[in-house]
Amino acid sequence: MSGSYLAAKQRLLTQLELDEGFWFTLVAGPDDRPRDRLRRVVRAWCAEHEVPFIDHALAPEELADVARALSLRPTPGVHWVRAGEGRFSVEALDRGFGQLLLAMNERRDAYVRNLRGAVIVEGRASLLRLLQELAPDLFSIAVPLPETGRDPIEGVDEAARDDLVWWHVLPERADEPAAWVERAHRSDAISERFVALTHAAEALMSRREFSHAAPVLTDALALAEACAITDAWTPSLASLRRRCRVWRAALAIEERDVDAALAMIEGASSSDSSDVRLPLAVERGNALWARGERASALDVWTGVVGELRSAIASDQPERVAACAEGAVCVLERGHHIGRAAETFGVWRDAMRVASVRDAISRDEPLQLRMWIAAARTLFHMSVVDRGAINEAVGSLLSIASAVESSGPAAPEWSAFAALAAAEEQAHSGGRSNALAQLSDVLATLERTTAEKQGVAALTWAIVAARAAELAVAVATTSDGEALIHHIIERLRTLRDHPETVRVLRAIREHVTLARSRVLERAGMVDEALRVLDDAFAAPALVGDPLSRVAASIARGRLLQRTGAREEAAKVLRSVIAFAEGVTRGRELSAQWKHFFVYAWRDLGDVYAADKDHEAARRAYQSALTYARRYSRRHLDDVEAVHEVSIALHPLGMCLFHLGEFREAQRLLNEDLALSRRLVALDPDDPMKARDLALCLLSLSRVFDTMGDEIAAREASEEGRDLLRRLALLDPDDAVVETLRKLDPQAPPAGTSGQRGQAPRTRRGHR
Amino acid sequence: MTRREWLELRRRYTRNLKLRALDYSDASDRALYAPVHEGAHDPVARLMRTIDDDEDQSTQLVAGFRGTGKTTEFSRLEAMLWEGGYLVARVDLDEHIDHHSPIDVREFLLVMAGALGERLLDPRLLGDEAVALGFWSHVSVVLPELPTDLLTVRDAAGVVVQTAEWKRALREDLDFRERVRKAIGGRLALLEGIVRAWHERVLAALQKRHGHARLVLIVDSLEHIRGTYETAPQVHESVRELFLAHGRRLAMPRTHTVFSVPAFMALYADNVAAEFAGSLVAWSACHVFRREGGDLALDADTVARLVELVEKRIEWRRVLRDRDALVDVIKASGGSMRDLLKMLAEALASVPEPDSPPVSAEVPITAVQRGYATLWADQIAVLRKIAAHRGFEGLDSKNREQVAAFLDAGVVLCYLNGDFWYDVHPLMKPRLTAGS
Repeated sequence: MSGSYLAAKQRLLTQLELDEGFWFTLVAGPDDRPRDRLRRVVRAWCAEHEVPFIDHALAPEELADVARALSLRPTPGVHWVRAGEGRFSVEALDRGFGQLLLAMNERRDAYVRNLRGAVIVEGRASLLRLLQELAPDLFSIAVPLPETGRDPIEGVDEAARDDLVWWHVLPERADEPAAWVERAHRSDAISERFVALTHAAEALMSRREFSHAAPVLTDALALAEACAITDAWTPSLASLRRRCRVWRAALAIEERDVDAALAMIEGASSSDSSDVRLPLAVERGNALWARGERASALDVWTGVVGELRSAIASDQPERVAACAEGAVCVLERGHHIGRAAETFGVWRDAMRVASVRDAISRDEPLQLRMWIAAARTLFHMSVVDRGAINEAVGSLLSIASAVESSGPAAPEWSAFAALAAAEEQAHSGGRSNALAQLSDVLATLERTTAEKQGVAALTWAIVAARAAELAVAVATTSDGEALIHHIIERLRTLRDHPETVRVLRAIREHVTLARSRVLERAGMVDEALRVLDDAFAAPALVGDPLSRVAASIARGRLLQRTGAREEAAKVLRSVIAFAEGVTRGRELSAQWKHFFVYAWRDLGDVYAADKDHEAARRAYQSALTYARRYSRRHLDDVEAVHEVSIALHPLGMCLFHLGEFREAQRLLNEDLALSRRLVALDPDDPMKARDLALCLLSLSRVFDTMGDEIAAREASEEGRDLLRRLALLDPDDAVVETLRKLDPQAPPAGTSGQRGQAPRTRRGHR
Repeated sequence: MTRREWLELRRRYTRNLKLRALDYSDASDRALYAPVHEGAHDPVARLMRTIDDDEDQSTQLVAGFRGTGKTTEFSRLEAMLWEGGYLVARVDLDEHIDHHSPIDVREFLLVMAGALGERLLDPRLLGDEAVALGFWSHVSVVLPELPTDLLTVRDAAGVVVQTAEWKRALREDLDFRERVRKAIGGRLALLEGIVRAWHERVLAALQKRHGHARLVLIVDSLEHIRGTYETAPQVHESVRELFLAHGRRLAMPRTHTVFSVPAFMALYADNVAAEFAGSLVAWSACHVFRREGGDLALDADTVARLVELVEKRIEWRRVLRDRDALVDVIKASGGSMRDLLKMLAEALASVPEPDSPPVSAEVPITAVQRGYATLWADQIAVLRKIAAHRGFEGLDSKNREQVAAFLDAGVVLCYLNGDFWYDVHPLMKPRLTAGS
């Protein structure tokens, strides 16, 4: 047992004995095992002294209820409050405990007056900060309890003092953590056990098996502390302890326990630590990032990358590796704070150095992270910075060329250059060209890579996801279906890697959405609905939340088309409420804007189908507002222009049904201008042509009502001509077929869902 | 002493060492009371002096730093005022306001008057006569737009079957608050006029009953308003706005008013003075040190007073090794009552047996030190500056919120001898040097 655990236990028992009124304390620490033991100790004391012990083990969002219940019904006894069984995110825990402490703070005087007993709140080490910052009145009366500490290996104190210098000798299976753990258990010497556990922890960390690595690292560090006061302690062991602390800091970052991370970084920095300075800087950047100091974090990582030249000059591969890690960190996070192009530049310069690429290629998880980040950065730049994406294409091509000339082919570099070029094309309006490029890349990747996991698989999946999305928009129904079917089948064969499990899951969902959209376009509405329900019926805890939002919008629209309008409206309204909650107070991203536009537009369709044109008008107006607001800030984004167009059309038709003909005509004219521009940008994109046709038919109807028969006839003829050509190109396109069968005089309300390709997500690239 | 006797004694000491407001009118509480502020700097004396000097009316804000015995001293102020011939209404806003939402001047005026209306039922003020003066019925008549319908539940026949209290509705019912705001709209001057007119009627009733209307209104607990994660900045802003933009509206005619406000308001003392033509009293910690040039010297008088306070609560020789140890504990408390009592409780907890040796000062000091959260590097930088200047000089204005949080948590303490100065809590100071 650690000293702090014993001190906490003694202090708790003393308080139980002495205080007969209300008192409050925190049982906080990074390890739940000692906390759990303390709970059992207190429960046993209560049983012995016939004091009621009430264990409030609740979901985080229910914790604050305890505070309210205790003021309404101040039941005497010891109230132990903690998060119940289950996996909760750190954010959810902090929020839940924060609300609990706030609510208790407010009721402090009521507890003091009425509650005979204790409230003991158990949780992570961050509870102390929450108490101090959120609940100062409660903090004023809190009994200060030592942190409960971590569970070291029992018997450390009795371990023999052996001189051992074998730690640097790798065992037979260097990457096998179980072998190291076994070796640690077999040994009686503290130093030996420390070394073995450190290696085990390193192996686990490199596999990203964090939950297994945590206790091993904890034990290793505890052993190091015990060993450090013995004669066995050597400079080599001290160096190993510093490494161990860096790993612990890295783990703490993964666990979002910033306090622990900073403590470890401080511990590792306090002595001579030149060998870990750069890894520490990387972790310090992580800690800063976790604290919300994002610009500072990026600066720290950029500083690490800046040491690349000297690392190469001094021929220190470990320093180069740290610089490579810094470069990946920069790339991963830069676009979060609007510095995508700048951070891409830092990364690109680092990647031009062969030794950096080598360092990354030796660390598969790092390499996977890098490519995921690269895909996201490319997409981000393609939306907001076309100049940067053009430059990115050139950079990637030049690196690909350098890679090929210096060694074996590295198809991922060429693939990403092509992906960048396709992104640039797609957002400039050339989606059909982009799809053609990506199809070529997919074919090449399938020819050149047989592997079904790792970087090659990830690269293929990222390109495939983007191709599937484009196929929905620009391929014929049968071609789109064939491509997506192929992608789905191949995705099934890919094996998940811990680093890619989330992104591959997101891509699978993403492609499923695309499939549902193609089925819808083929008129197979029930089948499309079934595909969505099959893919997204699982509990909400798994999967990509953004895909779920997209799926919900698609489901709402499909339900509307099957006639289940009430359910459709319910689904769409709840999606909108959710999206509003998520985006409140933030700048609207392309993804969320996209959701809002389509959700409001589809909801408008539901109202329009119910003949509630006023409600429909408000919904369409909301869609248009979101589309315009974004489009004005991103003038280069052709997708954004398209969304303005698809929001204009239903609003125009809604006003037409309300008798506001002039306003309807004005909006449809604007839509017509935008649709013509979009078709001109990409004449091979059938979706844009369909949209233009529908707009012409609608305008025809408006002109006719306003008595302009010639304009009406011209618009109708042009629209029908377009539809005829589209039907020849893609006979399976049910949307075109539906439009062709419409009464020329009555383009119905609620048909705007035939336009556009929504909803989609780009999270597949994460 | 047997173990049983020692246990009972420790339990009594534990009760005595609890941080709670003492009721100055209660004999057993009074036995625990010891004056800790010297005459000239005694905040109660300063409040009293202002009230005595301004014959007609005054407004004073008390920026209440936690753990400085403010509520206990308010209890003493109340007793002194009654003894001085004043009529005192002390209202606890905890019962009236929602701690989690920004406060609006319209509600605040209503709440303040409503709370006063309740306190008037005290037999020492108006007793039953106050019923006829009820503020809520008054305001319902003169402002019929107020959503009184939300306070009553009627059956199908239109008969009222249940009524809700105004104060509870204002505190707990967001919808009701919103409707009240809407009903009053921009007619703030009208509302102010209504409240003032009603207040004049109160003063007339007091005059009639007591032959004078020297009323002192103590509005306590506004410092408890905090907000939630999401609303904290807006709540802070609303309190600032309440006093800095609407301060004059809150000053009731021919009445001395004392508001307890959050500690961060001390940072706006100049603006408060301008707005109220009144003053802000920062309730300081006891200055166990005197500033002498750039250095700090132990203030023996204050230490002696704090020793006296400790002796009223606990037989310290049983738990602390010697007087030096006690003085070390007092020094480490920085004059904060909260931490002094906590350290004594920790010392008490460290002496489990009647024959266990008393402990050194280090034991309770370390125990309470660990109760504070770790500091970020930027926090350390700010605290170092405060410690260097014994104040906020040289800090960026962007640090204002951070400083407010430090004051709130007692990480930075406010002192008064000569003039106000600030210092980092002695328990936190080792952390500032550890990282340098």
